[in-house]
Amino acid sequence: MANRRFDPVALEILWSRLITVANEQAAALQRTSFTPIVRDSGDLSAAVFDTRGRMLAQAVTGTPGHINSLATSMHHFLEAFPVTNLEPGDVLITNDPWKTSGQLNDLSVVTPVFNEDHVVGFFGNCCHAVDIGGRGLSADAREVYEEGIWVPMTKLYSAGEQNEELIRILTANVRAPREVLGDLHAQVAGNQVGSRRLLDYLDEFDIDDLDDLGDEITQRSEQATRRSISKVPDGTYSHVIQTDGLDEPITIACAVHVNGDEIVVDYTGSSEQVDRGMNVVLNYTTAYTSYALKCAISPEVPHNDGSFRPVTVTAPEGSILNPMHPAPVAARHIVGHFLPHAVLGALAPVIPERVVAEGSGNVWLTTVRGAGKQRFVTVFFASGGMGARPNKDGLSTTSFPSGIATTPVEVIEASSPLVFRRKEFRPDSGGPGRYRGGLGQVIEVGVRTDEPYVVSALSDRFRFQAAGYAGGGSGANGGFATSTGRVLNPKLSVRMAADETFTLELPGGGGFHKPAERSPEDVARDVAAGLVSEEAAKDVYDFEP
Amino acid sequence: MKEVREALAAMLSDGRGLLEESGVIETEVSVSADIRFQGQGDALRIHLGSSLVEDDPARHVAETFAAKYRSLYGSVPDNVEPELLTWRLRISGPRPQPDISAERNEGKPLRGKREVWFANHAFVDTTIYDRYRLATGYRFSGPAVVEERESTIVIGPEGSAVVTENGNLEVAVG
Repeated sequence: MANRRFDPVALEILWSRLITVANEQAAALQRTSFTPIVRDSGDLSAAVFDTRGRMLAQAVTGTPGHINSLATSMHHFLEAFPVTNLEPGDVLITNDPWKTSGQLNDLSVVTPVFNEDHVVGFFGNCCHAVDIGGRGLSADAREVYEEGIWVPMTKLYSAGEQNEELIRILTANVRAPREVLGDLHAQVAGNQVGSRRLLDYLDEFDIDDLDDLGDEITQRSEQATRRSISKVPDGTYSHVIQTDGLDEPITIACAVHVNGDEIVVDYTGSSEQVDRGMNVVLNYTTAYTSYALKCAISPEVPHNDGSFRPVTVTAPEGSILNPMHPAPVAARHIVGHFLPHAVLGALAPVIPERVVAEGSGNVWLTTVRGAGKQRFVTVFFASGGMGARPNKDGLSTTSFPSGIATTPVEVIEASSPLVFRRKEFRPDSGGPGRYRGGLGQVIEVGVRTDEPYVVSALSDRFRFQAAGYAGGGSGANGGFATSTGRVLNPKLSVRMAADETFTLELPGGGGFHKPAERSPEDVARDVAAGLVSEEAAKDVYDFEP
Repeated sequence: MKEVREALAAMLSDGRGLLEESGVIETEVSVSADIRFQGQGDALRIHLGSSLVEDDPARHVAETFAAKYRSLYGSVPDNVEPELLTWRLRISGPRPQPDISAERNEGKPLRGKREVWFANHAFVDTTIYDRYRLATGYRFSGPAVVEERESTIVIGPEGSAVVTENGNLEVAVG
């Protein structure tokens, strides 16, 4: 039963204010960040937890891969550092991929909040570090050891004293220490601002700690999630999709078991783990699976520890969705971002009005680094098209499911030697349908250093297009080539000549319902806007202007 | 730093010229700077007061910035240099003090009575007021409805209200 201490009005105020506290935490983190990926793209998560490690509220920004896995990682932190062993001024850190969000680049930082001598809650955040050493962010590695420096669960600050040894080791092992350590400092600052706000909050409302409120919030969210699941007909719904892989395609086989007010998603039948960095740890598999279920089934339920409880995600040990150490994992999002397509594909026959067609899949994460005298590392994101919705066109160049914002060209050019020659919609890349898939884009990039450089554009959908639903057509494939006509491997690092540019062609999303059902007005508007060519309008939609 | 001093001096003389042309008496000069650590995207605005124009503002900037950064974010990152984006000089005359007290409403605010339903009370005989005829200082008790063009204010049976000097209605919920 819900704790009777909170009447509905008081609860609503406490709850909303707690979300605001988490938003302030994220705002401080982003304002003090040293990289566009955290500051502008929002490749992060930030949240507030009670003393038992239950996530109560998250900042309204960031990615499902970071937030859902941060919620799980908090329990690992508490296992390693029980509350009774913590002191005021402690800050904990790890990038253990299996316990957090599945790649070494993601650093998780947790700060206990003390009111005098006792812990009243925690702040945690997880940010993508622009570099973590190793082979640079690509699928190149054969083992996680090659992917960079591994920071086990340890104290970044101990009673207010910075762990200088750790800082020196990190400085010596990453390519961009100023940015990496600067962002780490921002992560600490975000938690610190959150802590200060939380103490004011507890004082204002005269609460000792967050645990009673935590019971109330998580129980309500759990019950609301259960009510939503109950409305989905019981049964087992299966779907199989494929992604490019490196040499061999990767299979994602998904069975969604709906039983009363609970859901189990099982990935038995998916590919074995691979010896390239595309393996997805179970934490990350769970994160994107829960996210997909939430989008389709309970989008209105607040996101916290309670809303995860009715969902269980399993994948066989040693499979690509639950790999065993020391499997390489750096580019896990290249497979992980496809999981919602598998889940929504399984649910499409039962709740067709609440799913979107397949989209471009993973957000394309391009890392460019200098290979001459001038050292630099820059990361930028770009998105293809989303799948069409049952009642609307798909969103163009929008990252689903990660929600990452594309880094603005001006920001990248101002903070790196990169120069963008071209960035434009790809006409005809959106899958046809009564509702058209979102468009991909073409981006051409070079450098201004007059020196060779290395590019890794982690991308997919070169072999398998985004499928349309209910008779909708597929979106266009992706492409990756150089100005000298080399066709590049999208999963590996590639060495480029100083004057060579590379071109990313991002895939389009699938359509929804048959193209013949699209209204001539919509086709005419797309042709006028240059989103659909006159030839395609004639061939696909039988449209004559 | 000579450049900064010269630039600020030039801004000061420009500003004084403008004020003089407009016939405004100078009352305040203040200097501020927008500053961040190299590599960051957001800057903090640091207020440096007025006496610094003739003095050397640049000398104080770094320490004032670090102090403000520490008070906002808890600590200052190591091994990064501050980066100054903008110097700003503001020269101003006396701030006008507009009279914002409400017009003196006169007349009879009472519009009559009608039955209004309140939770826990059912239907209650309720006084209806005209918002535009409520004089400042006027006090009344609920249950009441205050009607105005854009909205309606309901005051419960336990509530009471007073019209403040500015014409605001201050309601005690009871």
